[in-house]
Amino acid sequence: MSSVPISRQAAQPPKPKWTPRSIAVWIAVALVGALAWSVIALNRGEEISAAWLIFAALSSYAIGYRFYARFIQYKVLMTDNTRATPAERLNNGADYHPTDRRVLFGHHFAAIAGAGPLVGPVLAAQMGYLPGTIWIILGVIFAGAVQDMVVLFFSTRRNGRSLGQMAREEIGPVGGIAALIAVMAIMIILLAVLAMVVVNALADSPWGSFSLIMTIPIALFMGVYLRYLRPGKVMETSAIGVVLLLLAIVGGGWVAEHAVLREVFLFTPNELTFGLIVYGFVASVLPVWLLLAPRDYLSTFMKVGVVVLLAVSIIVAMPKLQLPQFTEFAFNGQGPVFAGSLFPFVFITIACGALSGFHSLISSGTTPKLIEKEGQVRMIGYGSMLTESFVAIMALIAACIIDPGVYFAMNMPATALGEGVESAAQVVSQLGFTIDAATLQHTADLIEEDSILARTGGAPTFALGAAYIFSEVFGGDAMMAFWYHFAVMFEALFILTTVDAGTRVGRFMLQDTLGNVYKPMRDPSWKPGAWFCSAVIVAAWGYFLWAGVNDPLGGINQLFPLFGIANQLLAAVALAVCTTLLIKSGRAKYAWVTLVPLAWDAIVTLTASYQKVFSADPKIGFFAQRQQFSDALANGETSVGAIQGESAMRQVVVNTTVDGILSALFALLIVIILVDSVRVWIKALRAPDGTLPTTETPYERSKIWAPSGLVATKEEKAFAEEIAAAGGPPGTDGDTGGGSPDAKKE
Amino acid sequence: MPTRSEFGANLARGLREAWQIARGVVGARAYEIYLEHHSRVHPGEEPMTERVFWRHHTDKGDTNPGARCC
Repeated sequence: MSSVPISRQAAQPPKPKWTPRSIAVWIAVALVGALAWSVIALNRGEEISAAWLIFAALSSYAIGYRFYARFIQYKVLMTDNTRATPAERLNNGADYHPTDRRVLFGHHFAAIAGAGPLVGPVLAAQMGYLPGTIWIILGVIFAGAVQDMVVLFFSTRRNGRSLGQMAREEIGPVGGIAALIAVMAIMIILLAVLAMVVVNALADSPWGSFSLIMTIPIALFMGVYLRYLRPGKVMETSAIGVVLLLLAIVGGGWVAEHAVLREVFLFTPNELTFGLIVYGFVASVLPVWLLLAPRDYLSTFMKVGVVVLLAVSIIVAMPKLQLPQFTEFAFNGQGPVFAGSLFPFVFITIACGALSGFHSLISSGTTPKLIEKEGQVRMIGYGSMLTESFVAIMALIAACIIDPGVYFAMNMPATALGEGVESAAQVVSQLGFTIDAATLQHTADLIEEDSILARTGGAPTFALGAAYIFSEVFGGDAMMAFWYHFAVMFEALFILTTVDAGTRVGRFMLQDTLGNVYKPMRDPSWKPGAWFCSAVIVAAWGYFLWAGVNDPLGGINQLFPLFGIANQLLAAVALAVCTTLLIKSGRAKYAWVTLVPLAWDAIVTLTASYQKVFSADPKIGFFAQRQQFSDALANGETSVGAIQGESAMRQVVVNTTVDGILSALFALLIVIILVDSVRVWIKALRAPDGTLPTTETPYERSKIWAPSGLVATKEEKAFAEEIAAAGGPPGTDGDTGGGSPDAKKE
Repeated sequence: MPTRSEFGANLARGLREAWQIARGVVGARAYEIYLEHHSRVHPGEEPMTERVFWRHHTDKGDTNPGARCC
């Protein structure tokens, strides 16, 4: 086989020439973006259509992708298509193999997208729609997508090394250990917060509980079906699973009206908490084929399906935003959903969707081992993150089209709202969002729930907004209850998948660490070790879950900022690794690309941690709050504000102590990582040629070829045909219709 | 302008491609990838049967769950 044309492939494609047509297209994109942004930002008190948010987002993404990301790719990273990627060099037909870029895009997106971008923006909506919109769009263009792409690139150059390994090798053992602790801490807090979202969405909701519980037998059935009846028929099995899932939602409606079954599936928050803890343990020690693998297939299906469905529905329904641009909570820091003012708490709350440290674990895990060409990092790393950001915008829209009164009634802690719709309506109206009890009850009736009050955690609010949007397009009011429970189930489904997988990941990390002390622990198939470590991990997140669910001040209110801080802490690790590598490889003049987002992230996270630790306002500072409650206890008082009773007050004291210590720990970790990185930067800058050796794998010439962008350019198509004519190898191993689809058309 | 039959052929090809991409995204192509790789690297050797392959493939998750996101 001759591969003559392949040897002609260039490191980078030729710079596209400006033609009158492309100039016109980009001017049009810029104009649409400018118009949409001015409508969003300058409108005074009128209700605007959600379509403007969509236009602003899409045109900004297009410009960011075409200009900024392109600049980073070619000028800063200098991706080289003639360099063989790990997928090509280490191809083993399994975890390393060159994968069609479009397949990998879907893969990577499904791996990074979870419940996070659906929750954060909903909570941040308490400050109005503008702060969230600005941060989701600007944050992704300049920070989040940059992080994902640059980590992906550097990990690809290092055989797919993980973030933790890169931190240890490129920064040093101290930074490496800090990174490891950060990963572990965020995992625990993440699992607790996500599980709490599920508890809040399903408590006292037989319909929701039934349909979620049914996902377990459905997944078990799919697992057995795939294992014994039809091995490898993933599409078929997933299709059956989705149909069963829809039936389970319909069945939930019937259960909710059935006199006996209704009681069977009616759970209190504590029953659900206990159930989730048991589920988390059992699921994480069961073999993967039985529960986790089928759940993963289902989640991927639902994730992609719902994202597409929601985007289409928003564009068709064009709902109007009901929340204002800003609420007073953006400035006074007294928001009832979470405390603290716009800076820094919007940036902490909207973690996923703008900048998510967690993504760096995917960008340095599976994806770099599968990528065909370095030139594809922009499409896969940057592009997938833009898509996730778009999901966050849709979640924000879902929250903002709801009546603001309903929004606050759903997202305020139960202790603040008092008993019943009358009291809740009064409390919310006093905040300045006039609502009557009848409307609150009517909304609950519409989705066939007993109550919508204090359904904190974002999922129910998102589900209500999504149900309005979906039913506008499909089925009208009659379908509201179905769509609401569909959306709740959809979020809960992949939260459970994350709980299962996250507990496993935590368990392996713990086993690996304990293996240093006691060797057999290292062996993942050693049952006692696996069970012990699973139990430890479950106990850790289970504690936070239980404490959060029973927190008199509202668990989301207290724990979500911690989750955001932990996530942004991980982002700081990732951006510090990226900056270090840019400097060490002699690209200090471009280090601002990751240094600016790192600085911003550090300022935001440290300010938030500082306020959480030192603020004298008991609503914000954990220790001030602790003081307030312990003083009250010492004085023999039996209530503080709406918190009644000594045991509740004691609970607050315990929780604020734990949360406060964690905030301080996170801040300390960030400082350690930054200091350790700066030490390496200075060393590199002082080195004779301004570089330091890195762990980059040596250059090896690539023998395969594939287009770089989502759609192959005219030149790329011609080149593919030329390769095919010369009998060259297909670009992608085993992927028909893969790297050079056009080569196969003859 | 493409003729009607050309358009139909293009559409069919596009749909086939989309289907294969979708299968790739959910991971349904693992066995095909393995077979292709096996025949290239170990020509002449008998590959695993589909059933055995999937068993191995799924069980790898027991020791390497892979990270998931929030």
